[in-house]
Amino acid sequence: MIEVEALKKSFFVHKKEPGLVGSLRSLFVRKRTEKVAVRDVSFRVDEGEIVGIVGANGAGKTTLVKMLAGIIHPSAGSAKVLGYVPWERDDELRRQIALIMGQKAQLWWDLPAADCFLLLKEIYKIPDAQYKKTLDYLVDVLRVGDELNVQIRRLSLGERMKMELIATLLHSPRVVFLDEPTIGLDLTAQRAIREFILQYRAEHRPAMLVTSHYMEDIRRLCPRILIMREGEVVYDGSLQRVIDKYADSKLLRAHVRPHAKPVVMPPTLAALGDVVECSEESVCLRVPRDAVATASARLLDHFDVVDFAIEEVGIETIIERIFLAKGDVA
Amino acid sequence: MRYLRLYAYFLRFSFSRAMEFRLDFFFRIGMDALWYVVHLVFFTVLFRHTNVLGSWNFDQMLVFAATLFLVDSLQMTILSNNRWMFPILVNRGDLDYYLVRPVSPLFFVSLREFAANSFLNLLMAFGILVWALMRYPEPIGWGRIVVYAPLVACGVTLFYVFSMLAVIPVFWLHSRDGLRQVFWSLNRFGQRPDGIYKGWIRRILVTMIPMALTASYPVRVLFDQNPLHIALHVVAVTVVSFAVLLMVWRRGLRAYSSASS
Amino acid sequence: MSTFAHIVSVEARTRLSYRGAFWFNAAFGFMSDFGVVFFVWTAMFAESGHAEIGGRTLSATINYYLLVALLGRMVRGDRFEGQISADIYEGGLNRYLVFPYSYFRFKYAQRLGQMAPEFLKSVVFGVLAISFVSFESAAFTVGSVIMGLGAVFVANLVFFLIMTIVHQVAFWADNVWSLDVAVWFVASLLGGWMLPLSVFSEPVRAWLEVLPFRFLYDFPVRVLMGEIGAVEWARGIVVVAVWCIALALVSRWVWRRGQRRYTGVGI
Repeated sequence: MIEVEALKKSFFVHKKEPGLVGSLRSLFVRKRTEKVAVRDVSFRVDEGEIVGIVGANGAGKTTLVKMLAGIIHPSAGSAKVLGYVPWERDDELRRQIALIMGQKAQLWWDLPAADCFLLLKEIYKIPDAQYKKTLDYLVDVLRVGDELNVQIRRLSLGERMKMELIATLLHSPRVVFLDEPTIGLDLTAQRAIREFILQYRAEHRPAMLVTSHYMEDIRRLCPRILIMREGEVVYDGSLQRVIDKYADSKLLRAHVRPHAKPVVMPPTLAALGDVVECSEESVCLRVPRDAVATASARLLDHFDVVDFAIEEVGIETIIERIFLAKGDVA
Repeated sequence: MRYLRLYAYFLRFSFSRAMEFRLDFFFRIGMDALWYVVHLVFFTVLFRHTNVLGSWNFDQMLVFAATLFLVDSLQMTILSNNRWMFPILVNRGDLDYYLVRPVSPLFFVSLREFAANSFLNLLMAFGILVWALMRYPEPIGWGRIVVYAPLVACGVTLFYVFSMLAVIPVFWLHSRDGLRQVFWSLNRFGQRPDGIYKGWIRRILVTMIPMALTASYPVRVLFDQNPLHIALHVVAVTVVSFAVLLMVWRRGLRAYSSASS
Repeated sequence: MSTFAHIVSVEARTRLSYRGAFWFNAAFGFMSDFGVVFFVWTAMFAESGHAEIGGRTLSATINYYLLVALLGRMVRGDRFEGQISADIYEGGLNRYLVFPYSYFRFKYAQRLGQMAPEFLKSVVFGVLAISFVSFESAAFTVGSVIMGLGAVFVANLVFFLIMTIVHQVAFWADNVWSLDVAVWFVASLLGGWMLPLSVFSEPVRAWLEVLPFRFLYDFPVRVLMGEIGAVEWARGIVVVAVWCIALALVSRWVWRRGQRRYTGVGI
């Protein structure tokens, strides 16, 4: 449903100089630098598939999504969404796609959600019966029946985001772009929205592209991820494989009795593994998987340990390592 | 048809919202009413010292002032809030949402924000116009009024086109209000009878930057020898200007979609 | 350097670093303001056949408006920047309230800083204007210019005080920009910006004498043109000083009441 072929986007940034002279000069001569936001990206997404796009700030995730939603033109390459070229903005295509941006509200602040939805019904020419059915379903699942007639600006952030989701899905889009759908929400609201997205996918089977900084979103929603780094897709494949490959170490966390000297002095901590944290009361080490047993034993020997735990490295850490790494990922 | 229904929603929203901010509601009505008073005083004081200005006498000048008010109140109700919002939409990137929807984005950005609180001013301006026409000492003739009415619509359209042309550069400039101040400066020319302008400035004001056509020319239709000639002129300029707007808009959108990230 | 002078200088430097568009807008605004009145009054004199209107010849009237256009923004300031109402809505007031410095003194210092680019513009456009339009009807002297600048300074203060009161309405209302514009309409008509006050009828002029608005444009421009002598100037300054004190007292009263309404959250 989404096919992307060697898509590229670069734009120019003007450098403005401060001061009166600078501003006069910039009237005539301006320095521009090319910035490549997305380079040579190719992938495809099928019906019912949720694909997560992961990357640091400025990796090109949002730019990519915007191109596929038809908001911006690419500098090179091609893309098809439902068989249409998105940036030609064919009405027929626009009726079947939806975009939600967690950082930008699409609903009008001073209207109750119910009014906004009516307007969207008109915009998307949704037949009465279908509109009622979809709205009832969405309102029911997201449990916002009581808030429908409250002005958007009086809603809490979580409720507002749920309304945004309803607004996005009201016309039963076949392709959905979710850009940071849970940003700024508390854990309960994040979970509710994730569960809803999964349920919606099971019942409607749209193709979805999700970007998020919350790894929990990605872990729960997306069996498949694209990892972007400086505009390039450096990994396209299952999330699990990345975890297996990069989670080659574990965390050893020990609480030690304060002010008690080590029973036996070195081997120093650094010799056991990477020191993640070290204070008077606790020690945390990252240790390769095959060295976990020996390192634990040493730690218990040398310190007056009160409490001890072996933990998996968080998915955030794994992704962070991939961002920082050079070259191909897998 | 669908666009009309959409517009009906916009109207409904804005009225329900206007009721929320009551104090502002009255301030705004008061502001525009005061603007009418100030202009009426202005012309009255000028006519203390002359019998004719721009080849119009005082009675004709009142009709001109009333037309000016009507055009202004129409643009205040229909357009002003949109013009104000537009640079914000572009700079904040909220235009994105309009672009993914199956509705003309130009329609949305131009007409979304109806100013219900200026609606009373519309009635007020219309009242002043009726009064000015009624008190006019000679009969004007229905034929001329029938031509005059659509020309007022053209006047509002021209106002719209040029105010949009002034804010569309935001696509390139990314400034807070584009060339809006330039537009307001130009608009001052339209607030005085076109008869006072001479030479090349006059020629510019009736063609390229047709500020004289927003209120003066429709009024000319009521009093001049050759009303049809003037009417055709206004319609032609309106059509051409609108075409230019569409062209510039398309370019602006392209700039938006290739420059933003 | 005192805090006050420091704020003035920071604001002035920020303002002077504006982009080219700022100069373009300013030049364009100045030319069209002046262009429209030029045509209106040329037509007025031509069509009425009078040699003098409101005691001024065409050239004197043109000179009057030219000076009004030049002084315009020095008196009025930038309507869109650093408004008190914006501070109230957006909660920016919080920041100022915790400063160990008077809010209004701070705002006034900012406003004086804003005058720097306006002054620069007036000088640049003034020099350009002199090379195109003759100021034969204005009797500039060193004295009139000094007294005139003093009058402009006071006019700016009067405008600041009026707008200070207007913008504090934001404590009660959701939006005051329309009130701001409305007050400007009144001030522009009664202050000599739209018309020289001498063209009004006698009874109206008697009323205008007792209002503070005439000190905004009519008074400073006439002082500059040499129409007002030193004695009358001094008398005017005393009257306007009384007005300033009155306006400041009103402002302080509104401020006290508004503070009680202020929730601090903004929006």
